[in-house]
Amino acid sequence: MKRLSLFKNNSMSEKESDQFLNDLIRQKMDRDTKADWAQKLEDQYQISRSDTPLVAQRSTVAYRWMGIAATLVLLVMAVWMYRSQDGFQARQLADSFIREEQLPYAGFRKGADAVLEKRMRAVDAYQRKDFNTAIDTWQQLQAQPEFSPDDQFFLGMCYLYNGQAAQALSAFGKHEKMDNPGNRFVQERQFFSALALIKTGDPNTARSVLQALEQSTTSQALRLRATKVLAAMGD
Amino acid sequence: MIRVYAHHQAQFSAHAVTIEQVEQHFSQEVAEWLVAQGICKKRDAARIFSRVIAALRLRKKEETTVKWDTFLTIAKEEALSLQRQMDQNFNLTAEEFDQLLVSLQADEKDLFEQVFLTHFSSCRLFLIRQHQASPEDAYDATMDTLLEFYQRLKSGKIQYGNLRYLFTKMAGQVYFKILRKRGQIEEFQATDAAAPEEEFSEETFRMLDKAWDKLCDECRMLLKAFYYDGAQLNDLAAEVGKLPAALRKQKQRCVDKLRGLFIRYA
Repeated sequence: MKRLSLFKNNSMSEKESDQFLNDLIRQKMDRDTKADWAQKLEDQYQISRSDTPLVAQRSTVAYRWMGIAATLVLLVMAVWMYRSQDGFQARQLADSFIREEQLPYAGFRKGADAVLEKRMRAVDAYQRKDFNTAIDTWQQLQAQPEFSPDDQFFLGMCYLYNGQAAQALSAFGKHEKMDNPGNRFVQERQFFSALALIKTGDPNTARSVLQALEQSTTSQALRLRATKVLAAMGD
Repeated sequence: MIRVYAHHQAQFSAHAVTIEQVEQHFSQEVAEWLVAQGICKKRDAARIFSRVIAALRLRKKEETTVKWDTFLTIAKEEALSLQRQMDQNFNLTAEEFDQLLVSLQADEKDLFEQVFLTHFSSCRLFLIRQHQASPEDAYDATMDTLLEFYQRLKSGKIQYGNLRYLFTKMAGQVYFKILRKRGQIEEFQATDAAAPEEEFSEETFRMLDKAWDKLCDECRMLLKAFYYDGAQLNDLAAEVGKLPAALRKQKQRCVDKLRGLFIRYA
Protein backbone atom coordinates (compact mmCIF):
# COMPACT_ATOMS: atom_id res chain seq x y z
CA MET A 1 0.00 0.00 0.00
CA LYS A 2 2.91 2.27 0.70
CA ARG A 3 4.11 1.99 -2.87
CA LEU A 4 0.62 2.69 -4.15
CA SER A 5 0.49 5.92 -2.14
CA LEU A 6 3.92 6.95 -3.38
CA PHE A 7 2.83 6.24 -6.95
CA LYS A 8 -0.40 8.22 -6.59
CA ASN A 9 1.53 11.13 -5.06
CA ASN A 10 4.06 10.96 -7.85
CA SER A 11 6.79 10.56 -5.25
CA MET A 12 8.66 7.76 -6.98
CA SER A 13 11.66 7.84 -9.25
CA GLU A 14 11.08 6.61 -12.79
CA LYS A 15 12.83 3.35 -11.95
CA GLU A 16 10.72 2.80 -8.84
CA SER A 17 7.57 3.67 -10.73
CA ASP A 18 8.50 1.22 -13.47
CA GLN A 19 9.10 -1.51 -10.93
CA PHE A 20 5.81 -0.79 -9.21
CA LEU A 21 3.80 -0.76 -12.44
CA ASN A 22 5.62 -3.85 -13.59
CA ASP A 23 4.45 -5.75 -10.50
CA LEU A 24 0.96 -4.29 -10.53
CA ILE A 25 0.19 -4.66 -14.23
CA ARG A 26 1.68 -8.16 -14.37
CA GLN A 27 -0.52 -9.30 -11.50
CA LYS A 28 -3.55 -7.67 -13.09
CA MET A 29 -2.91 -9.35 -16.44
CA ASP A 30 -2.39 -12.72 -14.77
CA ARG A 31 -5.61 -12.30 -12.82
CA ASP A 32 -7.47 -11.35 -16.01
CA THR A 33 -6.07 -14.35 -17.87
CA LYS A 34 -6.98 -16.70 -15.04
CA ALA A 35 -10.48 -15.22 -14.80
CA ASP A 36 -10.89 -15.72 -18.53
CA TRP A 37 -9.73 -19.35 -18.31
CA ALA A 38 -11.94 -19.96 -15.28
CA GLN A 39 -14.92 -18.74 -17.27
CA LYS A 40 -14.00 -20.97 -20.21
CA LEU A 41 -13.49 -23.96 -17.92
CA GLU A 42 -16.92 -23.41 -16.48
CA ASP A 43 -18.66 -22.79 -19.82
CA GLN A 44 -16.94 -25.38 -21.95
CA TYR A 45 -15.82 -28.07 -19.51
CA GLN A 46 -18.22 -27.60 -16.58
CA ILE A 47 -15.29 -27.24 -14.18
CA SER A 48 -15.54 -24.71 -11.38
CA ARG A 49 -13.34 -24.05 -8.38
CA SER A 50 -16.03 -24.99 -5.90
CA ASP A 51 -17.06 -28.28 -7.48
CA THR A 52 -15.67 -31.54 -6.19
CA PRO A 53 -14.26 -33.87 -8.82
CA LEU A 54 -15.77 -37.34 -8.81
CA VAL A 55 -12.65 -39.01 -7.45
CA ALA A 56 -12.58 -36.72 -4.43
CA GLN A 57 -16.14 -37.55 -3.51
CA ARG A 58 -15.31 -41.17 -2.76
CA SER A 59 -14.59 -41.76 0.88
CA THR A 60 -11.46 -43.50 2.05
CA VAL A 61 -13.69 -46.30 3.38
CA ALA A 62 -15.02 -46.81 -0.12
CA TYR A 63 -11.45 -46.86 -1.41
CA ARG A 64 -10.49 -49.48 1.14
CA TRP A 65 -13.42 -51.71 0.16
CA MET A 66 -12.67 -51.18 -3.50
CA GLY A 67 -9.07 -52.18 -2.85
CA ILE A 68 -10.15 -55.38 -1.07
CA ALA A 69 -12.62 -56.20 -3.82
CA ALA A 70 -10.00 -55.57 -6.52
CA THR A 71 -7.49 -57.81 -4.74
CA LEU A 72 -10.04 -60.61 -4.52
CA VAL A 73 -10.95 -60.25 -8.19
CA LEU A 74 -7.27 -60.32 -9.15
CA LEU A 75 -6.70 -63.44 -7.06
CA VAL A 76 -9.64 -65.22 -8.66
CA MET A 77 -8.46 -64.15 -12.11
CA ALA A 78 -4.90 -65.30 -11.41
CA VAL A 79 -6.12 -68.74 -10.28
CA TRP A 80 -8.44 -69.00 -13.27
CA MET A 81 -5.72 -67.94 -15.71
CA TYR A 82 -3.28 -70.38 -14.14
CA ARG A 83 -5.77 -73.21 -14.47
CA SER A 84 -6.78 -72.42 -18.00
CA GLN A 85 -3.60 -70.96 -19.36
CA ASP A 86 -3.79 -72.88 -22.63
CA GLY A 87 -7.31 -71.72 -23.36
CA PHE A 88 -6.44 -68.17 -22.38
CA GLN A 89 -3.45 -67.98 -24.68
CA ALA A 90 -5.39 -69.53 -27.53
CA ARG A 91 -8.22 -67.04 -27.06
CA GLN A 92 -5.73 -64.19 -27.01
CA LEU A 93 -4.13 -65.41 -30.19
CA ALA A 94 -7.53 -65.94 -31.80
CA ASP A 95 -8.42 -62.38 -30.85
CA SER A 96 -5.23 -61.03 -32.35
CA PHE A 97 -5.80 -62.94 -35.59
CA ILE A 98 -9.35 -61.65 -35.77
CA ARG A 99 -8.55 -58.05 -34.88
CA GLU A 100 -5.16 -57.35 -36.34
CA GLU A 101 -5.55 -57.89 -40.05
CA GLN A 102 -8.79 -57.98 -41.90
CA LEU A 103 -8.97 -60.58 -44.65
CA PRO A 104 -9.18 -58.61 -47.91
CA TYR A 105 -12.31 -59.24 -49.93
CA ALA A 106 -11.40 -61.27 -52.95
CA GLY A 107 -14.75 -62.81 -53.74
CA PHE A 108 -17.10 -63.12 -56.67
CA ARG A 109 -18.06 -59.74 -58.17
CA LYS A 110 -20.50 -60.60 -60.93
CA GLY A 111 -24.27 -61.03 -61.13
CA ALA A 112 -27.48 -59.31 -62.18
CA ASP A 113 -27.33 -55.54 -61.84
CA ALA A 114 -29.42 -55.36 -58.66
CA VAL A 115 -27.51 -58.21 -57.06
CA LEU A 116 -24.18 -56.78 -58.12
CA GLU A 117 -25.11 -53.41 -56.66
CA LYS A 118 -26.05 -54.97 -53.32
CA ARG A 119 -22.93 -57.08 -53.32
CA MET A 120 -20.78 -54.02 -53.96
CA ARG A 121 -22.52 -52.22 -51.10
CA ALA A 122 -21.82 -55.16 -48.82
CA VAL A 123 -18.17 -55.30 -49.93
CA ASP A 124 -17.81 -51.57 -49.45
CA ALA A 125 -19.24 -51.79 -45.92
CA TYR A 126 -16.97 -54.77 -45.21
CA GLN A 127 -13.93 -52.79 -46.31
CA ARG A 128 -14.95 -49.87 -44.12
CA LYS A 129 -15.34 -52.32 -41.24
CA ASP A 130 -19.01 -51.38 -41.00
CA PHE A 131 -19.86 -54.99 -40.35
CA ASN A 132 -23.48 -54.40 -39.30
CA THR A 133 -24.28 -52.85 -42.67
CA ALA A 134 -22.33 -55.55 -44.49
CA ILE A 135 -24.25 -58.27 -42.60
CA ASP A 136 -27.61 -56.62 -43.37
CA THR A 137 -26.76 -56.27 -47.04
CA TRP A 138 -25.48 -59.81 -47.45
CA GLN A 139 -28.53 -61.12 -45.60
CA GLN A 140 -30.76 -59.29 -48.10
CA LEU A 141 -28.89 -61.09 -50.86
CA GLN A 142 -29.34 -64.52 -49.25
CA ALA A 143 -32.74 -65.11 -50.89
CA GLN A 144 -31.34 -64.41 -54.37
CA PRO A 145 -30.22 -67.29 -56.57
CA GLU A 146 -26.99 -65.37 -57.21
CA PHE A 147 -26.05 -65.54 -53.51
CA SER A 148 -22.71 -67.26 -53.85
CA PRO A 149 -20.51 -69.33 -51.52
CA ASP A 150 -18.14 -66.34 -51.47
CA ASP A 151 -20.98 -64.16 -50.17
CA GLN A 152 -21.71 -66.76 -47.50
CA PHE A 153 -18.05 -66.94 -46.46
CA PHE A 154 -17.68 -63.16 -46.13
CA LEU A 155 -20.97 -62.99 -44.24
CA GLY A 156 -19.36 -65.37 -41.76
CA MET A 157 -16.23 -63.19 -41.63
CA CYS A 158 -18.40 -60.16 -40.87
CA TYR A 159 -19.97 -61.96 -37.93
CA LEU A 160 -16.56 -62.99 -36.68
CA TYR A 161 -15.08 -59.47 -36.93
CA ASN A 162 -18.23 -58.12 -35.33
CA GLY A 163 -17.68 -60.29 -32.26
CA GLN A 164 -20.59 -62.65 -33.11
CA ALA A 165 -18.65 -65.91 -33.05
CA ALA A 166 -21.71 -68.19 -32.78
CA GLN A 167 -23.34 -66.61 -35.85
CA ALA A 168 -20.00 -66.84 -37.65
CA LEU A 169 -19.92 -70.57 -36.98
CA SER A 170 -23.44 -70.97 -38.31
CA ALA A 171 -22.54 -68.99 -41.46
CA PHE A 172 -19.38 -71.03 -41.99
CA GLY A 173 -21.47 -74.19 -41.55
CA LYS A 174 -23.76 -73.04 -44.36
CA HIS A 175 -20.70 -72.25 -46.50
CA GLU A 176 -19.50 -75.80 -45.97
CA LYS A 177 -22.84 -77.21 -47.15
CA MET A 178 -23.03 -75.07 -50.28
CA ASP A 179 -22.05 -76.32 -53.67
CA ASN A 180 -18.72 -74.54 -54.02
CA PRO A 181 -17.05 -75.19 -57.36
CA GLY A 182 -13.33 -74.60 -57.04
CA ASN A 183 -13.59 -74.90 -53.23
CA ARG A 184 -12.91 -71.22 -52.76
CA PHE A 185 -12.14 -70.08 -49.20
CA VAL A 186 -12.46 -73.63 -47.82
CA GLN A 187 -9.14 -73.57 -46.00
CA GLU A 188 -9.72 -70.02 -44.80
CA ARG A 189 -13.15 -71.06 -43.55
CA GLN A 190 -11.57 -73.92 -41.61
CA PHE A 191 -9.06 -71.64 -39.97
CA PHE A 192 -11.57 -68.93 -39.06
CA SER A 193 -14.10 -71.55 -37.91
CA ALA A 194 -11.45 -72.80 -35.50
CA LEU A 195 -10.99 -69.25 -34.17
CA ALA A 196 -14.77 -68.93 -33.78
CA LEU A 197 -14.85 -72.27 -31.94
CA ILE A 198 -12.18 -71.05 -29.55
CA LYS A 199 -14.16 -67.87 -29.01
CA THR A 200 -17.34 -69.85 -28.27
CA GLY A 201 -15.50 -72.06 -25.78
CA ASP A 202 -15.10 -75.24 -27.81
CA PRO A 203 -11.31 -75.73 -27.92
CA ASN A 204 -11.48 -79.47 -28.58
CA THR A 205 -13.35 -79.14 -31.86
CA ALA A 206 -11.12 -76.18 -32.74
CA ARG A 207 -8.08 -78.35 -32.13
CA SER A 208 -9.35 -81.10 -34.49
CA VAL A 209 -10.14 -78.55 -37.20
CA LEU A 210 -6.72 -76.94 -36.89
CA GLN A 211 -4.89 -80.26 -36.86
CA ALA A 212 -6.72 -81.28 -40.03
CA LEU A 213 -5.94 -77.95 -41.63
CA GLU A 214 -2.30 -78.15 -40.61
CA GLN A 215 -2.04 -81.47 -42.44
CA SER A 216 -4.02 -80.61 -45.52
CA THR A 217 -3.52 -76.93 -46.30
CA THR A 218 -1.59 -75.82 -49.34
CA SER A 219 -1.09 -72.35 -47.89
CA GLN A 220 2.08 -71.92 -45.90
CA ALA A 221 0.71 -68.83 -44.16
CA LEU A 222 -2.38 -70.70 -42.99
CA ARG A 223 -0.31 -73.67 -41.82
CA LEU A 224 1.90 -71.32 -39.82
CA ARG A 225 -1.09 -69.67 -38.22
CA ALA A 226 -2.74 -72.99 -37.42
CA THR A 227 0.49 -74.22 -35.82
CA LYS A 228 0.72 -71.06 -33.75
CA VAL A 229 -2.81 -71.41 -32.43
CA LEU A 230 -2.27 -75.11 -31.70
CA ALA A 231 0.93 -74.25 -29.83
CA ALA A 232 -0.99 -71.68 -27.79
CA MET A 233 -3.49 -74.42 -26.96
CA GLY A 234 -0.69 -76.53 -25.60
CA ASP A 235 -0.25 -78.94 -28.51
CA MET B 1 -8.80 -50.06 -51.31
CA ILE B 2 -8.67 -53.81 -51.29
CA ARG B 3 -7.42 -53.73 -54.83
CA VAL B 4 -4.74 -51.30 -53.69
CA TYR B 5 -3.90 -53.60 -50.81
CA ALA B 6 -3.78 -56.67 -53.02
CA HIS B 7 -1.79 -54.78 -55.61
CA HIS B 8 0.75 -53.52 -53.08
CA GLN B 9 0.92 -56.77 -51.23
CA ALA B 10 1.53 -58.61 -54.47
CA GLN B 11 4.16 -56.15 -55.61
CA PHE B 12 5.92 -55.92 -52.27
CA SER B 13 5.75 -59.67 -51.72
CA ALA B 14 7.20 -60.26 -55.13
CA HIS B 15 10.21 -58.14 -54.10
CA ALA B 16 9.30 -55.75 -56.86
CA VAL B 17 9.55 -52.28 -55.35
CA THR B 18 12.43 -50.26 -54.00
CA ILE B 19 12.21 -47.74 -51.16
CA GLU B 20 12.35 -44.92 -53.66
CA GLN B 21 9.51 -46.40 -55.72
CA VAL B 22 7.36 -46.81 -52.62
CA GLU B 23 8.03 -43.20 -51.71
CA GLN B 24 7.40 -41.84 -55.18
CA HIS B 25 4.42 -43.86 -56.32
CA PHE B 26 2.53 -45.23 -53.35
CA SER B 27 2.61 -42.55 -50.64
CA GLN B 28 -0.99 -41.40 -51.02
CA GLU B 29 -2.59 -44.83 -51.42
CA VAL B 30 -0.57 -46.51 -48.71
CA ALA B 31 -1.23 -43.63 -46.30
CA GLU B 32 -4.96 -44.03 -46.96
CA TRP B 33 -4.65 -47.76 -46.48
CA LEU B 34 -2.94 -47.27 -43.10
CA VAL B 35 -5.93 -45.18 -42.02
CA ALA B 36 -8.46 -47.68 -43.38
CA GLN B 37 -6.77 -50.49 -41.48
CA GLY B 38 -6.92 -48.50 -38.25
CA ILE B 39 -3.13 -48.44 -37.95
CA CYS B 40 -3.10 -44.67 -37.56
CA LYS B 41 -5.34 -41.62 -37.69
CA LYS B 42 -5.81 -39.67 -40.90
CA ARG B 43 -3.89 -36.65 -39.63
CA ASP B 44 -0.87 -38.88 -38.84
CA ALA B 45 -0.90 -41.06 -41.96
CA ALA B 46 1.53 -39.01 -44.03
CA ARG B 47 3.83 -38.62 -41.04
CA ILE B 48 3.83 -42.37 -40.37
CA PHE B 49 4.52 -43.03 -44.03
CA SER B 50 7.54 -40.70 -43.95
CA ARG B 51 8.79 -42.29 -40.75
CA VAL B 52 8.51 -45.77 -42.26
CA ILE B 53 10.47 -44.63 -45.30
CA ALA B 54 13.14 -43.09 -43.05
CA ALA B 55 13.30 -46.26 -40.96
CA LEU B 56 13.59 -48.41 -44.08
CA ARG B 57 16.43 -46.22 -45.34
CA LEU B 58 18.24 -46.69 -42.06
CA ARG B 59 17.85 -50.44 -42.23
CA LYS B 60 18.30 -51.09 -45.90
CA LYS B 61 20.27 -49.89 -48.83
CA GLU B 62 18.39 -47.61 -51.20
CA GLU B 63 18.34 -50.11 -54.06
CA THR B 64 17.07 -53.00 -51.91
CA THR B 65 13.45 -53.94 -52.45
CA VAL B 66 10.86 -53.69 -49.71
CA LYS B 67 8.60 -56.48 -48.52
CA TRP B 68 5.02 -55.58 -47.74
CA ASP B 69 5.14 -57.39 -44.38
CA THR B 70 8.27 -55.47 -43.39
CA PHE B 71 6.59 -52.24 -44.38
CA LEU B 72 3.53 -53.09 -42.31
CA THR B 73 5.54 -54.12 -39.27
CA ILE B 74 7.50 -50.88 -39.30
CA ALA B 75 4.32 -48.86 -39.89
CA LYS B 76 2.71 -50.43 -36.83
CA GLU B 77 5.83 -49.80 -34.73
CA GLU B 78 6.01 -46.19 -35.87
CA ALA B 79 2.30 -45.61 -35.25
CA LEU B 80 2.71 -46.95 -31.73
CA SER B 81 5.79 -44.84 -31.09
CA LEU B 82 4.09 -41.70 -32.41
CA GLN B 83 1.05 -42.39 -30.26
CA ARG B 84 3.24 -42.82 -27.19
CA GLN B 85 5.07 -39.60 -27.96
CA MET B 86 1.79 -37.73 -28.42
CA ASP B 87 0.36 -39.14 -25.19
CA GLN B 88 3.32 -37.65 -23.36
CA ASN B 89 2.78 -34.30 -25.04
CA PHE B 90 -0.93 -33.58 -24.63
CA ASN B 91 -1.71 -35.22 -27.99
CA LEU B 92 0.57 -32.80 -29.82
CA THR B 93 3.04 -33.86 -32.46
CA ALA B 94 6.38 -32.07 -32.57
CA GLU B 95 5.14 -30.06 -35.57
CA GLU B 96 1.95 -29.05 -33.80
CA PHE B 97 4.00 -28.01 -30.79
CA ASP B 98 6.04 -25.72 -33.06
CA GLN B 99 2.79 -24.26 -34.41
CA LEU B 100 1.67 -23.65 -30.84
CA LEU B 101 4.87 -21.72 -30.11
CA VAL B 102 4.39 -19.62 -33.23
CA SER B 103 0.80 -18.82 -32.23
CA LEU B 104 1.91 -17.81 -28.74
CA GLN B 105 4.53 -15.51 -30.19
CA ALA B 106 1.73 -13.83 -32.11
CA ASP B 107 -0.13 -13.41 -28.77
CA GLU B 108 -2.81 -15.90 -29.82
CA LYS B 109 -4.02 -18.04 -26.95
CA ASP B 110 -6.68 -20.10 -28.76
CA LEU B 111 -4.56 -23.13 -29.58
CA PHE B 112 -2.97 -23.15 -26.13
CA GLU B 113 -6.40 -23.04 -24.50
CA GLN B 114 -7.74 -25.72 -26.82
CA VAL B 115 -4.92 -28.05 -25.80
CA PHE B 116 -4.40 -27.27 -22.15
CA LEU B 117 -7.86 -26.49 -20.81
CA THR B 118 -8.84 -29.98 -21.98
CA HIS B 119 -6.29 -31.40 -19.57
CA PHE B 120 -7.10 -29.13 -16.65
CA SER B 121 -9.31 -31.69 -14.98
CA SER B 122 -6.79 -34.53 -15.17
CA CYS B 123 -4.05 -32.37 -13.61
CA ARG B 124 -6.40 -31.25 -10.85
CA LEU B 125 -7.30 -34.87 -10.14
CA PHE B 126 -3.61 -35.77 -10.08
CA LEU B 127 -3.01 -33.24 -7.29
CA ILE B 128 -5.99 -34.52 -5.35
CA ARG B 129 -4.90 -38.14 -5.69
CA GLN B 130 -1.15 -37.71 -5.40
CA HIS B 131 -0.91 -34.99 -2.76
CA GLN B 132 -4.34 -35.18 -1.11
CA ALA B 133 -4.94 -31.57 -2.12
CA SER B 134 -8.37 -30.09 -1.48
CA PRO B 135 -10.39 -29.54 -4.69
CA GLU B 136 -9.99 -25.76 -4.30
CA ASP B 137 -6.23 -25.90 -3.75
CA ALA B 138 -5.87 -28.33 -6.64
CA TYR B 139 -7.86 -25.95 -8.84
CA ASP B 140 -5.72 -22.95 -7.83
CA ALA B 141 -2.46 -24.85 -8.27
CA THR B 142 -3.50 -26.14 -11.70
CA MET B 143 -4.58 -22.66 -12.76
CA ASP B 144 -1.27 -21.13 -11.57
CA THR B 145 0.64 -23.89 -13.35
CA LEU B 146 -1.32 -23.26 -16.51
CA LEU B 147 -0.31 -19.61 -16.39
CA GLU B 148 3.31 -20.38 -15.65
CA PHE B 149 3.41 -22.98 -18.38
CA TYR B 150 1.89 -20.48 -20.80
CA GLN B 151 4.52 -17.88 -19.94
CA ARG B 152 7.40 -20.34 -20.16
CA LEU B 153 6.16 -21.63 -23.51
CA LYS B 154 5.82 -18.09 -24.77
CA SER B 155 9.37 -17.25 -23.76
CA GLY B 156 10.68 -20.44 -25.40
CA LYS B 157 11.80 -22.03 -22.14
CA ILE B 158 9.93 -25.29 -22.71
CA GLN B 159 10.82 -27.83 -25.33
CA TYR B 160 8.91 -30.73 -26.84
CA GLY B 161 9.60 -34.00 -25.05
CA ASN B 162 7.40 -34.99 -22.16
CA LEU B 163 5.17 -31.99 -21.61
CA ARG B 164 2.64 -33.94 -19.56
CA TYR B 165 5.27 -34.99 -17.01
CA LEU B 166 6.68 -31.48 -16.83
CA PHE B 167 3.24 -29.96 -16.36
CA THR B 168 2.24 -32.29 -13.51
CA LYS B 169 5.67 -31.89 -11.89
CA MET B 170 5.28 -28.12 -12.00
CA ALA B 171 1.74 -28.40 -10.64
CA GLY B 172 3.07 -30.35 -7.65
CA GLN B 173 5.67 -27.63 -6.98
CA VAL B 174 3.08 -24.88 -7.33
CA TYR B 175 0.81 -26.73 -4.90
CA PHE B 176 3.61 -26.96 -2.32
CA LYS B 177 4.28 -23.27 -2.83
CA ILE B 178 0.65 -22.56 -1.92
CA LEU B 179 0.99 -24.69 1.23
CA ARG B 180 4.27 -23.00 2.17
CA LYS B 181 2.71 -19.59 1.76
CA ARG B 182 -0.06 -20.59 4.12
CA GLY B 183 2.46 -22.00 6.58
CA GLN B 184 1.06 -25.50 6.25
CA ILE B 185 4.49 -26.90 5.48
CA GLU B 186 7.89 -25.71 6.59
CA GLU B 187 9.79 -23.43 4.26
CA PHE B 188 13.46 -23.80 3.61
CA GLN B 189 15.15 -20.44 3.97
CA ALA B 190 17.63 -20.27 1.16
CA THR B 191 20.19 -17.53 1.63
CA ASP B 192 19.80 -16.32 -1.92
CA ALA B 193 16.01 -16.54 -1.96
CA ALA B 194 14.30 -13.71 -3.81
CA ALA B 195 12.26 -11.27 -1.78
CA PRO B 196 8.59 -12.27 -1.69
CA GLU B 197 6.53 -10.41 -4.22
CA GLU B 198 4.18 -7.75 -2.91
CA GLU B 199 0.58 -8.80 -3.12
CA PHE B 200 -1.87 -6.05 -3.87
CA SER B 201 -5.26 -5.79 -2.26
CA GLU B 202 -8.58 -6.47 -3.96
CA GLU B 203 -9.31 -2.76 -3.59
CA THR B 204 -6.16 -1.86 -5.53
CA PHE B 205 -7.14 -4.24 -8.33
CA ARG B 206 -10.66 -2.81 -8.39
CA MET B 207 -9.19 0.67 -8.87
CA LEU B 208 -6.73 -0.54 -11.46
CA ASP B 209 -9.44 -2.34 -13.44
CA LYS B 210 -11.52 0.84 -13.61
CA ALA B 211 -8.52 3.02 -14.45
CA TRP B 212 -7.29 0.54 -17.07
CA ASP B 213 -10.68 0.47 -18.80
CA LYS B 214 -10.61 4.24 -19.09
CA LEU B 215 -7.18 4.31 -20.75
CA CYS B 216 -7.04 4.67 -24.52
CA ASP B 217 -6.18 1.56 -26.60
CA GLU B 218 -2.78 2.94 -27.51
CA CYS B 219 -1.79 3.42 -23.86
CA ARG B 220 -3.12 0.00 -22.88
CA MET B 221 -1.12 -1.67 -25.64
CA LEU B 222 2.02 0.27 -24.83
CA LEU B 223 1.89 -0.32 -21.07
CA LYS B 224 1.05 -4.00 -21.53
CA ALA B 225 3.89 -4.49 -24.01
CA PHE B 226 6.39 -2.72 -21.75
CA TYR B 227 5.35 -3.89 -18.27
CA TYR B 228 3.77 -7.28 -18.98
CA ASP B 229 5.40 -8.63 -22.12
CA GLY B 230 8.77 -7.21 -21.13
CA ALA B 231 9.39 -5.53 -24.47
CA GLN B 232 12.20 -2.97 -24.74
CA LEU B 233 11.27 0.59 -25.68
CA ASN B 234 13.81 0.63 -28.49
CA ASP B 235 12.28 -2.49 -30.05
CA LEU B 236 8.76 -1.19 -29.63
CA ALA B 237 9.79 2.15 -31.19
CA ALA B 238 11.25 0.35 -34.20
CA GLU B 239 8.09 -1.69 -34.51
CA VAL B 240 5.76 1.29 -34.59
CA GLY B 241 8.17 3.51 -36.55
CA LYS B 242 8.81 6.07 -33.83
CA LEU B 243 11.93 7.39 -32.20
CA PRO B 244 12.72 5.74 -28.85
CA ALA B 245 12.71 9.13 -27.12
CA ALA B 246 9.24 9.89 -28.48
CA LEU B 247 7.93 6.54 -27.36
CA ARG B 248 9.44 7.03 -23.92
CA LYS B 249 7.58 10.32 -23.62
CA GLN B 250 4.39 8.65 -24.78
CA LYS B 251 4.84 5.91 -22.19
CA GLN B 252 5.33 8.56 -19.49
CA ARG B 253 2.14 10.32 -20.57
CA CYS B 254 0.27 6.99 -20.31
CA VAL B 255 1.68 6.37 -16.82
CA ASP B 256 0.57 9.89 -15.78
CA LYS B 257 -2.89 9.23 -17.20
CA LEU B 258 -3.09 5.98 -15.25
CA ARG B 259 -1.98 7.79 -12.10
CA GLY B 260 -4.67 10.41 -12.59
CA LEU B 261 -7.34 7.77 -13.07
CA PHE B 262 -6.08 5.89 -10.02
CA ILE B 263 -6.52 9.05 -7.92
CA ARG B 264 -9.97 9.58 -9.38
CA TYR B 265 -11.15 6.06 -8.51
CA ALA B 266 -9.45 5.89 -5.09
